[in-house]
Amino acid sequence: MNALKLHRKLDAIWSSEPGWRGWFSTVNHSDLGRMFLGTAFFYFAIGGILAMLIRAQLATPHSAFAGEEVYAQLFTMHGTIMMFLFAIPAIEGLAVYMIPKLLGTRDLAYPRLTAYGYWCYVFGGAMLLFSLAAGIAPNGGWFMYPPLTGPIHSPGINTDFWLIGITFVEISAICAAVELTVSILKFRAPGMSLDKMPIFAWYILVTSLMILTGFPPLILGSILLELERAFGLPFFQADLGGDSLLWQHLFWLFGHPEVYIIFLPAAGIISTVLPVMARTTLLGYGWVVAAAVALAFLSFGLWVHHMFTTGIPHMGVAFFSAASTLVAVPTAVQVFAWIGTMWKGRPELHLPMLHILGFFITFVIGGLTGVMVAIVPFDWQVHDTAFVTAHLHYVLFGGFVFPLLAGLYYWLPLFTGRQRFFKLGEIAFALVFIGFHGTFLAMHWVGLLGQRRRIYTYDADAGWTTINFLSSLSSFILAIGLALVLIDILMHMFATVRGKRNPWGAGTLEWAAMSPPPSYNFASLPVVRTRDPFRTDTDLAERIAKGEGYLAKPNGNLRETLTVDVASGKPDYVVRYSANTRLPITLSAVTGLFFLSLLLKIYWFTPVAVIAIAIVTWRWVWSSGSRNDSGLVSVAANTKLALAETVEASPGWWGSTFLLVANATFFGSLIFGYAFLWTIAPGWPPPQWLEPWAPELLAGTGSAIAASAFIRMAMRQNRNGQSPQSGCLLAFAATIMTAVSLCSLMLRIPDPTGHAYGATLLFISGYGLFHTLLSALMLAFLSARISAGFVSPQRKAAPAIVRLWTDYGAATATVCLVISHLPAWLT
Amino acid sequence: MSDVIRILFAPLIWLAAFSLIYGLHGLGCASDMAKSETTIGDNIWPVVLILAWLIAIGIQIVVIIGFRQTKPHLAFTGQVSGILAWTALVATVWSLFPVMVMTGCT
Ligand code: HEM
Ligand SMILES: [Cu+2]
Repeated sequence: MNALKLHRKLDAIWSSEPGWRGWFSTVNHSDLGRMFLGTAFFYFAIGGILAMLIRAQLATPHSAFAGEEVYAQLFTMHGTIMMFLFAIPAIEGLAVYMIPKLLGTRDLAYPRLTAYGYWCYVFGGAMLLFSLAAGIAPNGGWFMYPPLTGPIHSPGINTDFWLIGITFVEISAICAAVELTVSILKFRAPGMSLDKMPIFAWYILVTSLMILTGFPPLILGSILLELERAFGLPFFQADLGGDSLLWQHLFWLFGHPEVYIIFLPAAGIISTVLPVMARTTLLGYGWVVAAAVALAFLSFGLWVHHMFTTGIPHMGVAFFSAASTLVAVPTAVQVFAWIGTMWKGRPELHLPMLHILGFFITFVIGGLTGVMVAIVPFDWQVHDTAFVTAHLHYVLFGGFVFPLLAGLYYWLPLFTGRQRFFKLGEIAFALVFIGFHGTFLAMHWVGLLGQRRRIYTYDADAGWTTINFLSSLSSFILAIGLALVLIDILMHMFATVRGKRNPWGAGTLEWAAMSPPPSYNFASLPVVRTRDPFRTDTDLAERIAKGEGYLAKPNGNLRETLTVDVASGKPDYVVRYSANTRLPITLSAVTGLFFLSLLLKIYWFTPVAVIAIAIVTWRWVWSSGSRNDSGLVSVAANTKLALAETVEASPGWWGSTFLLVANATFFGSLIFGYAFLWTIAPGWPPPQWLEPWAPELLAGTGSAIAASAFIRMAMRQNRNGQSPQSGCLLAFAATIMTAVSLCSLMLRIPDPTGHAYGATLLFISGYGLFHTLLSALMLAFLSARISAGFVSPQRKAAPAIVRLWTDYGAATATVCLVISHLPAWLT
Repeated sequence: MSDVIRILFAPLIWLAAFSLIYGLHGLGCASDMAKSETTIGDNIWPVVLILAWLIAIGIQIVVIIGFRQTKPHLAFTGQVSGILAWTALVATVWSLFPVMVMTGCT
């Protein structure tokens, strides 16, 4: 088959619906990546406009531009939008777009999930945007400390917008993280072993794992705070056995890793772009991977350093100060690898390189002021002043925005297939650089002079007037610079001439596809033998296009790709994707109704929304798989592979595993919260402990163990060629028994509004009940699938997935039952 | 997958030990064990923390030795997991060192 014919055939199979309708039904990662990036930059603009309003207010003393309340909404929404609606989604968008191309494959692991995550982001973001436009935006600062944000001090709906909207958006982050983790581990070109992965994939892998373990504590905190606000469960109210410090712990358990979740992908861009700009390869690939992993782990051991001023014991302060200093080591390894790479090569000063230099200078200054803030006495001095805000922007803007712009300018020729024709980008860079440093150097300065953060006005005789004015003036230069970047990119997309392929002479696979990339990415999947295959093998692009790789013969109109063994990259099995569908947008709309019912306090509708979610999800999962056994699929001249539905470690199993990792972190945070309140909160012990009741405990744990045993029995039956129906139904019955025990526990709990103890037990038993009901639903689904003929000794993927969830439900139900009975026995 | 787990293994143990000993400290303070009213607690709790710290260091050393005696699928994994095992050992020693020089709950 010649290249053009192959292209037409593949494009017919893989392309999205034409026109605007395609937007709603596309599941293609290039489309969704672009949509993610576009939406993220839209929010960057909104956040930037808010920043301009803030600076306008602070430009002069006694400014009458915004009052205290409006100002509080401005800085809260600026911080919130920048962190949750710009930085994280921008990274997700870039990764969603780039990862399959870098890894030499056709799409991400779960195309429909990509779309679902995107629409959750859009709908959740729209909620927050609405609150901003209506003047009822959150106003408690981006970290939302109670008691300020509790029901007593903030009775309005403003805080609810934050808690519910951000949780909705975080679903999108979790989806993307599961998606990217599994894609990087399993969906690569044949032969691409772990050590041949492009370095960017490593960073995104580490970042995704961090999102899976970093976001759950915040989701938990948000749910708890919302429960306190809506139903009076006093998790954070000191007089009723709660503790507002619990929020700070949960928030910073998320918040500190969050900084690295933003920084690591940015570092990944630098590690990708810098070697190409220096015409060489990255120095110390293995060390850089180790440094990224080390940074990720260390960042989880630092959260308390944001709470030093809250009276943490000296020993705790010492632990976290010591751990904080350790971060310097992997950061230094990282920086030395970059410097060494430049030394080794011949750096050329293209536009992406300018942004990298901007990054270096800014980030080094941000690191130095960071060390200053980390010194405890100095922290006492500048705590909560503009100095801290300035430091934060050096890290976030220097460590994220400059690298992101470097990456965008680097990959722009790939996105568009065009070339820049005018030096607008260089002028924009100069303005951004000058404007940024002007704005925030000035803010360091007024911070040292004592100007506090989050103040909406100051006195003319404080001596801050000139400095503030300089800062505001510079911020407008910065804004003009960023607007020029936008104009430059738009011109590039729509107005310039076609460029040649691979203008930078890079070695990674994305440049070996057509640019702009076609819907299917690669006409055939290349066999990878080195870390940058396109560097030495210059006719690789032609061979891919002519179909001289894997999966070159389209099979009917099926969207097919293959997975590989995690470590070695040997081809593993074939995956068939579903085609364009509106299910994802429907499901996220229904999810949105669920969140809206909570926000507007229309609680009778909440169960309706939950049932609707279950129905749509059922349809979603039902639509894949087949009722007949089929043989192996030919993927290359003499290679045949099995189909995904015939293996136990199918993509669904992998995704479930990582979703459960996130879920387990959530559960772990919950147990931490319980232990924290029990040992630290002032209002304990509660007036009354739960009465232990052995029959409930025994029935609950016994049936949980039985459920795990029965689902195993079902799998054994299936393997031996018998019908697994009986094992499946027995497991279902056992799960119902567990649910009954948990209901019994729930009914016996001491008044949940009277003391945080009762509230915590209610939440714990609710968590257990939710997961047992989820297992029951999955077992019912499996039973229906068995009846419909979707399961056979050969097609064994589904039971393995259900086993995973049943085990998780059983384990958590057991823990919930035991820890609820524990205190009464111990005391 | 075993290669990925090997890479994450040693730092995971550090994180677990770090959280556990921080929690142990908090627990001791909350349960009067480390408060000065009970003389036994006053003597025992710092020793418990130090013991926990030494065990954590011991585990990290065992991990390093274990890594030397087993071979992953890729030489690359061996290199990265080796670097990280040493890093985790240093992190364990350094970040929990305060148990040696400090006591008390204030
Ligand atoms: C576009 C240029 C930017 C300007 C001129 C700017 C300006 C400001 C100013 C003046 C404040 C302080 C408000 C106050 O304390 O009274 C602030 C707060 C903040 N900014 Fe920015 N910013 C910019 C970009 C960013 C970016 C890119 C991020 C994150 C990725 C970010 C994250 C934050 C956060 C988290 C806060 C703290 C909000 C709070 O106190 O609750 N900013 N910004
Ligand atoms: Cu931090």
